[in-house]
Amino acid sequence: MRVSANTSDILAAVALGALGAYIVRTAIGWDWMTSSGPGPGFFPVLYGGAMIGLALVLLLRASMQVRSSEDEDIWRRSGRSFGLWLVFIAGVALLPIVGYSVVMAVLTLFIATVLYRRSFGRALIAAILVPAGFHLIFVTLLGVELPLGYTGF
Amino acid sequence: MHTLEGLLHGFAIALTFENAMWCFVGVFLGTIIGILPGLGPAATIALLLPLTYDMAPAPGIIMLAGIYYGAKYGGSTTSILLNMPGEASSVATCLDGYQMALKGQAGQALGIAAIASFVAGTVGVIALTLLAPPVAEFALSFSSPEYFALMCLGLSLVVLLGGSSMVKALLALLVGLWLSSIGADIFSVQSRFTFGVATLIDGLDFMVVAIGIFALSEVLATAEQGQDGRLIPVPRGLRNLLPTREQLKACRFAFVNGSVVGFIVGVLPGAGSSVASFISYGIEKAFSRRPELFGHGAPEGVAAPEGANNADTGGALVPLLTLGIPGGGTTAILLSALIIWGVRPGPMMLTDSPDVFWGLVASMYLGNVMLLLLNLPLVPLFAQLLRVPVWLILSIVLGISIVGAFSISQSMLDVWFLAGFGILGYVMAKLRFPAAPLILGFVLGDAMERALRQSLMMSQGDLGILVSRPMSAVMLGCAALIVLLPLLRRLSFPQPSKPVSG
Repeated sequence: MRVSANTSDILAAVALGALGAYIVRTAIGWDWMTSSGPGPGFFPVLYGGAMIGLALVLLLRASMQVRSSEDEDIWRRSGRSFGLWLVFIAGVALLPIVGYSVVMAVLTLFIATVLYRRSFGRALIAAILVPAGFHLIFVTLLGVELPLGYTGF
Repeated sequence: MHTLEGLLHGFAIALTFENAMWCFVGVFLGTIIGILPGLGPAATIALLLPLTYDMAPAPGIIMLAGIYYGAKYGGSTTSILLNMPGEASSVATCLDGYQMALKGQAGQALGIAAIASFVAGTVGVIALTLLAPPVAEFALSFSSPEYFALMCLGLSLVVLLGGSSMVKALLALLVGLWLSSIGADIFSVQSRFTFGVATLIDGLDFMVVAIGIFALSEVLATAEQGQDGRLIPVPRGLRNLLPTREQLKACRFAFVNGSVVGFIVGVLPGAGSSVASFISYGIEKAFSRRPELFGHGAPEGVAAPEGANNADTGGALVPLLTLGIPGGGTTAILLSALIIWGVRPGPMMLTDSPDVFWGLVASMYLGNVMLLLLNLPLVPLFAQLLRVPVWLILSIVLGISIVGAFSISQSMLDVWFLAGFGILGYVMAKLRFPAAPLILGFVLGDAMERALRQSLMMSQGDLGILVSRPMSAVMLGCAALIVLLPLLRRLSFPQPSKPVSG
């Protein structure tokens, strides 16, 4: 599905308008002005209101732009990035279970073999050396705590 | 403390073995990350900041600032050898640098870039030395209304100069302000926007936001490309890296142009070194006796933008150190670093923390000399770093990002937030929402709200206090003009609607 910059701007404007409305709706429930001065709701209502106004401007501007069949699909090459992000998310979910080193090995393998089409052998060497290097530098030398998981790595 | 006395005191601090070593580490790391694609100075400083928590403020800031200006030296290498800027600020250097390299003058182009960086970088630091004390003294008279107005003015400039769309830049700024509001209210016990998550009472950690928005999003953006660049060989030996006498003669005005333009643009919040380098390149070409050579390998087309790129650093530190107002993403991270170490940048920094202020300024003189020595003879060695495959760099940056986020408070929640801000930064970049206003809004949000609420406490709720004080009124007036003028101009001269292009 082609999603142009224009359509993306409309979606962004709707999302930001909704965020602005949420901010204002939540903040008006807090004190606006107290005897000692402005309360906690004062500042958020100001910027939340501004966010709604600017989101409307963005929405109007994007809606009024003439669409062309030559519009570039700005997300055309984003599949690789979203794919990497999803694998990263899966890695974060697995961090407390399998530990940092295993997650880093899998991430390195994925980037090298799937995204950059490098040979499995080369990727495997990197997948062993990269986490080992991190463990040596951060855990052994610098004493930084890492999520180790049940594997102990 | 008098300027000269302060500078000598600074040299006494910067020249201790420990501080000189951290200065070297900073400029060395900066050069490397300037060369490596996919990792900018903002991301690197954000990644390294958690590891510097235990350092004293002076060596810590000396190292982080070294990364900041060292990356600018290194950024020219990829521009010249690969036609691929290591940093956004090195884009203009590609125009003539790569052409020189194609003509077999890669060594001279790298040499001119290093010399221009050294000359203009040093001029920028001299200007910082001379300008910072009077600016700080002037700012001593500021009270809460003036500070609020100053922050409005700074942020409006960031919004004006920071991106292609002012509306998008303003929206990014407002999202940053919202993120800064998450947690306990600064004056009461009211928790705001915490969604019932107890750990959010303390607010979002700046490092998580910065690493996500800068480092992780850069990884995701780089992953789109999926290929490594083709490297032009660098001649070995110092003699092959030195420009000829004719080339240096052709560049003499470019050195001055780059120094002056870079520093002035650097002082303006939001403009950044990319703007400085393009303005300087444009001026050089406009006043050149041989403008037809520009774009085909003119040495002054390398010297002017590289000089401006480096003089910008001194300029950018003036508002950061004397007013506490960062002008871009990297300086916002430096501000946070100083606050974490208990140093409050602003007019009182010269009197409260002279060791940090003057130590940093003096270290920049030292750092520029180190960078010249590193970049002239060792460029062929550094260029070998370009042979490191991109996929390996991405993997390493991801690994450091996780370590950086987790090590803040050993909380998995921070790693989840890192993932969230990473994708937010990537989507923002795709939609052309600039990241710098968001980061600045997040960094300055608390201070801005505090200044506004304190002002209204002083006036018992009367907003008129913001415009009844002359300085505050002038700064707010300028901020309003900056934001409203482009909108009014559009209303006065409506442009025909045009088809959207990506």
